[in-house]
Amino acid sequence: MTAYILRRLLHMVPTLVLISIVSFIVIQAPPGDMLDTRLARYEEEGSMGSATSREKAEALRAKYHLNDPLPVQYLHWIGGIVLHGDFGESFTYEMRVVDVFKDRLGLTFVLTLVTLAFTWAVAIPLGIYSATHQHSAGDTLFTFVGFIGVATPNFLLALIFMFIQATVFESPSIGGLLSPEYIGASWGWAKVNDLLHHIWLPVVVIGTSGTAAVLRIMRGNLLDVLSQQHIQTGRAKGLKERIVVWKYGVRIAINPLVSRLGLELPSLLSGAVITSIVLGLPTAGPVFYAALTTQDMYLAGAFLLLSATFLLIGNLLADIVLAWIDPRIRYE
Amino acid sequence: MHEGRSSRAPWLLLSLAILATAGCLPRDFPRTAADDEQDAAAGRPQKLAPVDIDPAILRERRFGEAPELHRLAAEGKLPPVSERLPEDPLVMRPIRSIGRYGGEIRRDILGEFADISDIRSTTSENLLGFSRPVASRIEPNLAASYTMSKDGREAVFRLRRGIRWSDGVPFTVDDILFWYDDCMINPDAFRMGVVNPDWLVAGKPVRMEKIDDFTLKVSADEPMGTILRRFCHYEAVFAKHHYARFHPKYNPDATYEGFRRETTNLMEVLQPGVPKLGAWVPTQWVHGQQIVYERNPYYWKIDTAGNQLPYVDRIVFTVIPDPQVALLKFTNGELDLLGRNLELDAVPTLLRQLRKGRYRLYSRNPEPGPAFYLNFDAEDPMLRQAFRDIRVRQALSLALNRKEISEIVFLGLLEAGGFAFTEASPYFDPELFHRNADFDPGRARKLLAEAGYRDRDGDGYLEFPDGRRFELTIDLTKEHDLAELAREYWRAIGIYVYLNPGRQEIIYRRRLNGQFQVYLYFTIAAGVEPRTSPFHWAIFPDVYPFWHRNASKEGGPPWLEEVTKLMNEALTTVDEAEVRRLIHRIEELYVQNQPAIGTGALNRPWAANARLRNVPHTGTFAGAFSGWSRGIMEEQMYYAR
Repeated sequence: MTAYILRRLLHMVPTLVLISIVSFIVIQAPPGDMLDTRLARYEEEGSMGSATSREKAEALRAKYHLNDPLPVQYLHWIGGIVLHGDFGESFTYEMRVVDVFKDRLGLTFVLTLVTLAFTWAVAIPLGIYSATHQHSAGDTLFTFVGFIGVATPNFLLALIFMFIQATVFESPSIGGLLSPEYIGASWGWAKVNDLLHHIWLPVVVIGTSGTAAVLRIMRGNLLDVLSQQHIQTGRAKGLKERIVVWKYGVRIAINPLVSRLGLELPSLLSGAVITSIVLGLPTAGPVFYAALTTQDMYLAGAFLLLSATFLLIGNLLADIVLAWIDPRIRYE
Repeated sequence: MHEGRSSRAPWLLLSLAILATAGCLPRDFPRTAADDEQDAAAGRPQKLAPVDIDPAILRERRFGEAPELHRLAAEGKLPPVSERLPEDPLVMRPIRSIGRYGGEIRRDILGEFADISDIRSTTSENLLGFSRPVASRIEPNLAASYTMSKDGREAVFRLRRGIRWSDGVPFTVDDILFWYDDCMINPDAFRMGVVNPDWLVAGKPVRMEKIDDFTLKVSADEPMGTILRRFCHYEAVFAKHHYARFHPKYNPDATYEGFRRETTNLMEVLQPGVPKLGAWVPTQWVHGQQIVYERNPYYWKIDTAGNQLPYVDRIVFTVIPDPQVALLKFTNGELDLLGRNLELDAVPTLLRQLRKGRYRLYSRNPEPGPAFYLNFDAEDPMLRQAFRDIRVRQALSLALNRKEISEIVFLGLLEAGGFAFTEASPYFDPELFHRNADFDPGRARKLLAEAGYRDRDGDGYLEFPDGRRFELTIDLTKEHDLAELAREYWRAIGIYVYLNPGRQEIIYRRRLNGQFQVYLYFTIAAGVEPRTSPFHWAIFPDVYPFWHRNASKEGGPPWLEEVTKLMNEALTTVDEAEVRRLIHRIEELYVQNQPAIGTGALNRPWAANARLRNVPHTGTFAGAFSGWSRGIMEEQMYYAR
């Protein structure tokens, strides 16, 4: 197993190099650079004469090596990351990229993990129920709700929920993760309580489509497994239905979901971007979005690179977990 | 490029539907006088602000202060108010009434960086400022007075004596010199790495010298035509006692890199602990979420009853990246001001909930509406020839039904006019503004026929002399509905129109490189003060104005050459009356020659908490004071009981 993990880790290196090159090309692909974007915005605001800002932009362009050929820029960028762990500077925030991340990672992790827990806690029992009670009224209901959940865009759901919050419940604070008075406060029970009062909305909104998808997968897989011969054998042996379903059914049916869990890892960083913008969440997603639209290349590049790394690690972890829970899987 | 006729049509219908549901938008937004009536009816009449302050108050230094500060002073934690204020505090006459202390103003920002200039202008103070609501005069601010030599080569500013930074340290000329000598014209300290061209006169940075602690001399070898405006626009001060420790010149252990990091745009404005001169100082900055500003105990402005400003304890900026959510939060009573990012499509929503009485709608001073810029150097030689023909330009203008545009696209809030200064500008001339607002498609067709454009193949559209159909493409980033209407109007006079909507970054680049034919944009050039962007008006090397890039090489039309001469004169002239004459002449030439097709002036609405008082019934849009909020003066706003 150790050899397997080491081999996998080794394989990740060329993949990462490839990913970093693609990321860099992707963030450079749109016409113009970050300074053009900024100039366009200045002009829109009418706050600055463009002759002035053009000269400034040229100076900045030289300073950030934006006039160098692309491969040189790339080496400059990746060199900083590999040698110094320096992801460069964000143009817009005028801070180091790492510092921009730092502030947002905590709440992003909390939100994503709670959402994941919500998704699984709701979807797996319902999926099992649906599979064991196929074509029953409950199954039909969950299927119906599930399809609605998959089909509704999250941001729309967010807007509808917020509108209901504001008009029906006249809630004093809508959106966000904290009431304004708690944002700057130090962490204590009152703040955690306030967080709980706010976090359910994004959790439900973001979790809905995930829940629906997991429910469908769980149901399909379990139905598949329950029709297999070892289940039949188990039943014939007179095992209790509970043991047949849980020990011999769910345990196998859940495998694809474990793989899926690996894919969820990058969303720790950049998940639910649009929903987060709509809900005004202080998570990393909106920063990523803004970095892309303003062509803040080092910031966007860091996001792409880290997301890709998370994905690779997630896949590896998923494979390891699979090998652990399913003795049939052998990698050697 | 796509036609988009069918895809956009539903939007027009939708706009009409919205218009129908919104009913008639009140032309007269509620005036502040309505507040008085309401307060009187509630048995709590407001105390009208005296026009002038009683000289005895200043003489005896009997100033009012916020209860919280009074308590701190009584406990000895703060000097008494008479010692905190300068010898000659700035007396600000509130818009309507004398306020009461307390409360907080909650505002939304899209993000720290996106709205940094707005936050800065709310919370910073410059040496000079503009008169309100029309920025026609330059008025004293941190400087109590200034004199300008006749030849414009020397200016002397006298600061108010005894102004203190928010930490109590006296503010002197040294703080200005530190900002200028050690940061602005020191390429190492300045993030841009070049001297900001705004402070160059004839290619050389202006000189700033200290005469004494409160007197600053600014001089240059050539007349400094725009220097006073620079001091209106720039927060030309840095708290030396705070920043010197980061500067290598004063601290051998410091580095320029570290200094630049301390003085980024965001750090300078938002970082708690940095001494300020504004009405509120930042006390909390939670990245990406919220910035809290608290009252500056040393603020140096008083109302006409002798009370230290500001009235409101706190300003809280909350990051709300989605304007729709900001609107929802505002109608839900979670925000007190809504305006900076308010689009017209929010107005029906605001009107519907107006009855609840949580907020009021106000109108901003008219800002220049959208305009169609014609590229005199369009790639297509036929189009180039057409746009250079005044008759074609007149025809394009006459074909627009501006009244209909206003009703359909702008909820009736667009006042029809040509490409000219609006009422918000000190150069406003009603005759010039209205001259090119006529709608007369018949005459437009006649003008085009006179110019030699005929429909030769009978398809209903005119042909160029070379036989191709007369076609043009409008580049746009927003105002789709307007472009949609313009296409119909121009097709009606025989010109076939394509629309090219795109993202700002892409369209902007096309514009910058002169690759457009017609460019629809909120009037860049007909802003408030042409001297802030002269290159959009006149010929400047190498590629200005953007709609006639070749002019600096091959020469422009005679009228544009004259504009250029007048503009260069205006830039170096010190006498404001003379400047006004020059700019008026420039405007006249523009109105006669119509290089761009204007639509008029737009009265954007904005909204404020119904309990807020001293809200100007006409706030002024961003361009006038470089920042939206400068026009509304939060320091004299307060909450009625």
